[in-house]
This record gives sequence, structure tokens and C-alpha cells, in this order.
Amino acid sequence: MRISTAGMHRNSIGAILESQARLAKTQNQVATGKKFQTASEDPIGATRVQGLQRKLADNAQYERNSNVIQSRLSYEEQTLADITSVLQSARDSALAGANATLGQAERKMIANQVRQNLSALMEMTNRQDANGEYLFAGTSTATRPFALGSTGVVYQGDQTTRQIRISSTQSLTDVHTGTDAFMGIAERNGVFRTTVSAANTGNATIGVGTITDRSAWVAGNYTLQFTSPSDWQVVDDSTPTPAVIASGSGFTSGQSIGFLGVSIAVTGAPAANDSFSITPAQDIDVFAMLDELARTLEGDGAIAGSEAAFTAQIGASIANLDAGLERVVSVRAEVGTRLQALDTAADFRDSEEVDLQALISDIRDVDYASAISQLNQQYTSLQAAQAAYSKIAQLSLFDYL
Amino acid sequence: MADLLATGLSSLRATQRALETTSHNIANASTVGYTRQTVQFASRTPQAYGGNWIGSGVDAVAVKRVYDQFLATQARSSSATLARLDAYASQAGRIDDLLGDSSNGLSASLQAFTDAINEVSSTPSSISARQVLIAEGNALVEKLQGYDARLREMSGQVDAQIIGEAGEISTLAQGIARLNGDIAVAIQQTGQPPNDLLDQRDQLIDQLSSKVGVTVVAEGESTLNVFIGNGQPLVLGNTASQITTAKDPLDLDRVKLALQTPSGTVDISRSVSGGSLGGLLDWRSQMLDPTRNELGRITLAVASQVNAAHREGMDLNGALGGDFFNVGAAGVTPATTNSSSAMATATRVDLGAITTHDYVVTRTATGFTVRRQDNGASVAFTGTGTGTDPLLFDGMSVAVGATAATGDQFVIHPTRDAVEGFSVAITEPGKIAAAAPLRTSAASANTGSGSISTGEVLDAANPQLLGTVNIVFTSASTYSVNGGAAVAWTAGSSIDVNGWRVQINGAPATGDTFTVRSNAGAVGDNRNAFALADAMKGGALENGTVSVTAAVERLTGNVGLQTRAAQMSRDAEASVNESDLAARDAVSGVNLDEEAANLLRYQQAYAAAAQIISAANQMFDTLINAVRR
Repeated sequence: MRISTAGMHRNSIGAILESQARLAKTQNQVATGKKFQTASEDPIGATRVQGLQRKLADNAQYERNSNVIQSRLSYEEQTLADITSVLQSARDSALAGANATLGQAERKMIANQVRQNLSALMEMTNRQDANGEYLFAGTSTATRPFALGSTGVVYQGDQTTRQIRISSTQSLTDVHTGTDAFMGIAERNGVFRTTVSAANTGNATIGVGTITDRSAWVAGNYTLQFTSPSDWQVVDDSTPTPAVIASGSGFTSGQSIGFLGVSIAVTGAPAANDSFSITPAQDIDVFAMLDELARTLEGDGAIAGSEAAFTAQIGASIANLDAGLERVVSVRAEVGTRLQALDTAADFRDSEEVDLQALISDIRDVDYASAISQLNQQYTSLQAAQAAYSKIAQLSLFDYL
Repeated sequence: MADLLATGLSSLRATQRALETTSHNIANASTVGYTRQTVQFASRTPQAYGGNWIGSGVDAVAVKRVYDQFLATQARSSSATLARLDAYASQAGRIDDLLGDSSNGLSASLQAFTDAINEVSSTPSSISARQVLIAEGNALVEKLQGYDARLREMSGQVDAQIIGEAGEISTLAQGIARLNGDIAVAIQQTGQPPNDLLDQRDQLIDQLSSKVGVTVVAEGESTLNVFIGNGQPLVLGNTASQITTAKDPLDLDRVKLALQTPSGTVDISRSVSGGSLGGLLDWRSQMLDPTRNELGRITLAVASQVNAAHREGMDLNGALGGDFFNVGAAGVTPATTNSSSAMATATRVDLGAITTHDYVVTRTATGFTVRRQDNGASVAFTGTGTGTDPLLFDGMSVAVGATAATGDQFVIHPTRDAVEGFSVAITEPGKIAAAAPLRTSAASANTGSGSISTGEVLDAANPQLLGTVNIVFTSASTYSVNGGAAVAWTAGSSIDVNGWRVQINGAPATGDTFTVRSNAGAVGDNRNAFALADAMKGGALENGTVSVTAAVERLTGNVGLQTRAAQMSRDAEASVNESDLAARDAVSGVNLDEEAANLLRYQQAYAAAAQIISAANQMFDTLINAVRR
């Protein structure tokens, strides 16, 4: 075939330019570590990388979210631990105050301790996190959640808890609301309350009582009456003409009186016509527990002078504090579960991130071994093309004329 | 006796022509478009002498171009195709460079915006997190507007190039026409074709066809006529038509191509194809406009998704969230050729049905027609085009002023103007609605075990939405709303009041009260921020099947695919063109070694011819010397 001189040069130069372009592309790949720079070089890969990178970025955000919630939950944990020791200390005070040998002055001193406990509790439940948000205010985080009102401490936050997303599939509940943590605790044994009638003349006192058979209990108002120091009867107050539902005789101090699946200890010597009321348990909050205890120790009006009522009330306070401690412990356990869920989610995110990085790397990253060998090969072929051209271009018949 | 001197002389003359031609070939070895020439020799008519025919020398009868019409046409057509594909591919590469960057592209801006929402979600009361969200919103706006501006700029550059190319095409056409004339004259003078003029004309036609697709038709021996578009004459004999540009009556931002013929002006914008000009026009209508419109549509989807979620939330001031983003309205351009001054209004009615096309609405004697602007395809619509019964098509509603005259046209741009009007409507961090607007609670005195759900907003526009509502159970299976009539209740059934919905579960007792009220003051509430964070993942486009993130990925993917396809066809055509050029040059190109050999050959022939004259001289001397005695 005949080849024109201009064509020959064009072909050679074309081949060299093409080699150079290939070399430049490989060089760029090696320099950036990426197989492609724009979508057109690998449209499908680029689209996939975009999706995978979005997931990675989401994960990074979930990690930041986790850090926020982790610090808040840890702070809640810490605060609940502090509150537990405050309640425990109040319970110790109650046990100490229950000692019948103490005089009113000594009880008052113990009451002062309890008052201090109460103000510590107010401080703790109104704690703010690093961002100045009240921990236990629900979502009304700018509102001081617990304040002293006319009828005790009132909750001013709301019932909403925040959800924070911590992985692509999981969102976690943030700190508990004040209500969930400290309010609405069923008092005493959780079922009923016992009260010494103010008109009693004997020195008998009544215990908190226990439930022996939950199914036999019927909620309502009952009165335990002593018709004589040794005979007793239980009257159901709700019926129009109070009906006797249980009775007994031969009462001795410390005996447990049982009816409707509950058992209540009466200690001391009741006089005839002494009575004790048994009413459904109310809800109480931790502040009221301490306040009630302090008032009992201070010799509050309702129980003034009645040692029996005092003993019953102190017993009730101890039972209340036990219920409060149980609540706080169970909330703490929930916080612990959430913190653990955070760790699990972090593990999940970490392994997902490794997978995603590996996938992205597979699609986009250059395999240096093959890229370098390709670079060498292309370098050699460019060199060869240039050498060949310079040789061929020198050939001319005119040189021999 | 044959004339030895005359024979020698004829050989001298002929080889001289051949040497001249060879020198001409050598001289033009690098001239683009040059076709090598050869001299045709023919022996002279022999003379009868003594019963024998004695040869009387040689003539150089013609200097011919070594030209293969088929190969030349093939090379020209593949060069024109290459020019078209190259223009397309290099422009496509610009869009790809703009949108295809995975680490710094639109996807990354969208991600940064979503991250900022998530940050607000985890610390809703933080003013700085909210400020970051507004800043990221602005960054997203700037990104989209930046892209749109670049695409508009590219479109403007196409116009500038069209104007430039139109001038060049006219110049080339004039050159061809002038050469047609010169060649005709030259042939008339000598009867022989003027090879170098033919080469020049072919070269001009090559240049022309790589700019725009043309058809070349030979007329007689000397003339080539050139036609453009749908057979409109650009060069006829020695007259050329002018190509001019004018503003497109349907789009003032664009120019149209027109051919000025003696019989009037012909619009050839639609019919022009091929060459680099055709490549540019193809690229603009097939890639640039759809990409710009899709960016507009993504903007609409972002705004509509985020706004819908934002309107259902409550801000730090206890007010319902308004729009987070503003977007530009749908664009309407009346054609400059309209005979009336009637205007049209276009509104988007259904984002899920909106496409990335632009439309032309034309008033006819009996009603309206709606066509796509890019390919003229007819679009089905309903309505009569009045304000009360607008034209409805592809998610758009168009009302045309009653005074519109027959033939009046309006161009509708459903999506692309959205980007220009795109902005963040919120400037104060406190106005970001991260909280849910309602809070629900159960009264603490409730004795039953009923619990109320957190509630969802059905209609954020309900004026009573934030009013306090008490739901009181009048029996274990009925409730009344704010003291109203008793309504039957079963556990978990939906209770819809004032544009919201709650469910009450469990076993509420008679007299139990549940309250739904405004969530004002819940500065730590992040429920609506959750909904905002999911906005980009929700189906927004194409009847709710395509989310914002999916649309962004698809856009970059499509641009990448189109660019890659364009580059691959360009590369394939480049090798076709390469082999076509090689085939043409194999016949027509100058080979210097060949010319060197020819030079040698003709030099030797010249020397030999000179020897003939010398021999004739010696014979003459011999004869004279013989006679002198």
C-alpha cells in the first residue's frame, strides 16, 4: 500500500499523542489514588460511590448524635446515682428517727438533715446538661422542671421524650422526663395506706401492711375497729351501712390482722373503740416523700403528741422511700440499657463503616500494583513510539541523491 | 527521416513539465487538501516513411489530479461526523466536570444540609446548630444557583459560537461560489481542469461540512452546488446565500439561524444538523436543557419536601413553622411574534407529574395546542385555557388571557426558573420548626390505664390546630371533645380534631381526661427535626417514586452516562476518520520518496533527451564534414 508522507507523519504523531493521553490518565490515577475523577469515566461506579458515601456521612452524623445522647445519658446516670444516695441517706435518717428513745429536739435535728436532703434533691433534679438544657424537663428544656408550689413540688416540664437516631435502623430515647423518673410513685406498699385515727386513746400503732394474695384484694376504704382491747373487726366503709367483712378476738400486740388477702401488723395496746383506716394508696413524688418525713420528724400538727401515729407515719415514710429508691433504680437500669444500646449501635456502625469503606475502595480506589505496572508499560510504549518516529522520520530518499 | 531534433525537443519539453509537476508535488507535500498531480505522456503521431511508421516524440498531454471521488467523499463525511461528535462530547465533558464530582458535588451539599438538620435534631435548643442549618441551607441554594448559572453561561456560549459559525459559514460559501466561477472560466480557457483551484474548493467544502451538515451536488464539469438544512441552497453556481442570526421569538435568550436567499429569509434552526454546529445544537437540546430543567425540578422537590415537613412543626417562639425555602414560579414567555399583548400564567399543581420538558402553548382558531419545545411532540391536555378552566397537562396549569389572538404562542418553563428564585426563607435561627406543634398528656388524676399517643398533624393550615382540646371519657367506651357530644371509642381508634390525630390506648376509666395543646415552650423537642431529616428520602417526583437523593444520584449518573456515550462514539468515529483519511491519502497524498524517485527518473529522461539533441548535432556535423570536401 502506498502511504503519503504527510499521512505517515500524522499517523505517527497520532499514535504518540494517544500514548501520551493514556499515560496522563494512568498518571492521574496514581497521583489521586482514584480510578475515576468524574462520573463519565465510570457512571455506574460513580453513582454507587455517591450512595455509599451518603451512607458513610449518615453514619458520621449518627456518631455525633450518639456522642450527644451518650453524654446526656451518662449525666442522667450520674444524677440518678446521686439521687439514690440522697434517698438512701433520708431512709437512714428515718430509721434513726424512728427510735422511740429520741426526744423531740433530736428528731428535729434529724428533720433538718432530711430538709437538706430535700434541697439537694431539688438541685439534682433541676440539673442542666453541657448545653444548658434541663435534664428532666422532657422537651421543655428551657423550663426549670421542678419548682416549689403551694401544694408541694410541681413539675413544669412536659411528657415528651426526645428520640435520637443512632444508626440507620435505630433511634434511642433520650433522658427520662421528670414525671417518668420522680413523680407518680405509688406510695407505701403500692396498694393501700394505713392511718392511725387521731381519736385513738390506746397506744397501738399500725404497720404498712403487706399483700399476701393480690387477687383477693378489693380496692376501697376500710376501717379496722377494736371493739375491746382484744376484739377487732374490719368494716367496709363504701357500703351505705358499713358491713363487717372480717373480725377476730384474742388480739395480742404485734399480731398481724388479715383480711381480703392483706396482712397488717398492729403493735401495742389498743383501747376499745380505737380505729385505723385503710384507704387506697395515693401517688406520691420523691419530694413529697422527704417533705412528709421531715414534717413527721418535726412533729407535724396531725400527729403531734401521738407516738402511735408517729411510729405508723415513720414506717410509712420508710416504705415510701423504698418505693422511691426502687423507681430510681429501675430508671437507672433503663438508662444502663440505653447506654448499652449506644455501644451496640457504635459497634454496628463501625462494622458497617468498614464494609462501606471497603466497597467504596473496591469501586473507586486504584490498585497501585496494576496501575504502576500499567504506567510502566505505557511509558515504555510511548518511548518506543517516539524512538520509532524519530528513526522513520529521518529516512528519505533525498538523502541519497 | 524523422526529425531527431524535434523528437529530442519534445522529450525535453515533456520531461520538463514532469519535473515541474514533481517539484510542485514536493513543494506541496505539506499543504492541507493538496492532491498530488501526475503528468500524462502520450507519444506523438508517427510519420509514414518508406513504408514504415516512424515515431516522432512525446507530448505531455495533461496534468491530472490523482483523486478518488469516493474516498474523498467518505473522508469528508466522517470528518463532519467527527466534528459533530467532538463538539457534543467536549461540551458534555464540561457538564460532567461540573456535576460529576462525587466528593464536592450536589450530593455533598445535600448531605451537609441533612447533617445540619440532624444536628438540630440532637440538640434542638442550640441556637448555633440552628444557625449552621440556615447556613447550610444557603450553601445548598448557592450550589444549585451556581450550577444553574454555569449551565446558563454554557448556553450563552453556544449562542456566541452559533453567531461566530454563521459568519464563517457565509464566508466559506462565498469562497466556494467564487471558486466555482474561477474554475468555470479556467476550464473554458484551456479545456483542462485547474487542479489547484479544485483542491482549494474541496478544501473549503471540507471546512464547511465540518461546521455544518451540507449536501454537495455537482452540476456539469465545473460547478459544485451546496445545500444546507432541508435542501435550502447555500451555494448555487457562483452565487452564495448569507446565513444570519436573529433572536428566537420563543426564547429571547437564544439565537436562531436564518438563510437569506434571493426569494426571502428561511428559518433553518430546526433543520440544521451535523458538523460542529449541529453537535452544539444537539448537545444543547439533548443534554444542557434537560440537565438545567432537572436541576430546577430537584430544587422544587427539595423545597416542597422540606417546606411540607417544616410547616407541620413549631418554632422556638411557639409559632407554626412557615416555608423554609422560597422557589421561583414557573416561567412563561410570550413569543415576540405574538400579535396580541395577552399574557399567560402558569402554576405548578402536581410536583409528582411535572417533567423536565418545556412546552409551547399555541392559540388556534378553535382552542389551543400544547407541544413540547424540544421535539414538537403533541401533549395531551384538558381544560379550555380560561382562568376558571385552565389547561392542565403534566402537572401544570396554564391560563391564557382572553385577548390572545390566533397564532399567539407562549413558552412554558415548568421547572428551570425555580432555581433563580430559590432562597432560604428563614433568617432567624429561632424560626426553625424543630418541635412538633402539639403535646398530649393524660391528667394525673386519671384512674384508668389509658395512654394517649404523641399525635400527628394532618392539616397544618387548620386555624384551630393549636387550640387546647380536652378529651374526657364519659364512659369506658365513649368520650367527648371539649364537652361536646359523646363519641364511641375503641382502643387505638383514631381521634381526628382540628387538623390533628391522636390515638388513645389501654382502658381509660369514666372521667379520665386527656389533653392536646400547643407545644409552645418545648424548646428541646426534636420530633419535627426528625421529619425534616427524612424529607430528602421521601418520594417527591414522578408520582412519589423518586426521592430527592435518588434524583440527584440519577442526574449525575445520567450526565456521566451521556458523556461517556458521547466520548465513546467520538473515539470510535475518530478511528473511522483516521482510516478514511489514510485511504484518501494513500491515493491522493504526496509521498516524498516517490517524488524523489520521479525526480531522478525525469532528470535522467531530461539528460537522455539532451543526448538526442547532441546526437542530432553530431549527425549534422558528420554530414556537413562529409559534404565540405
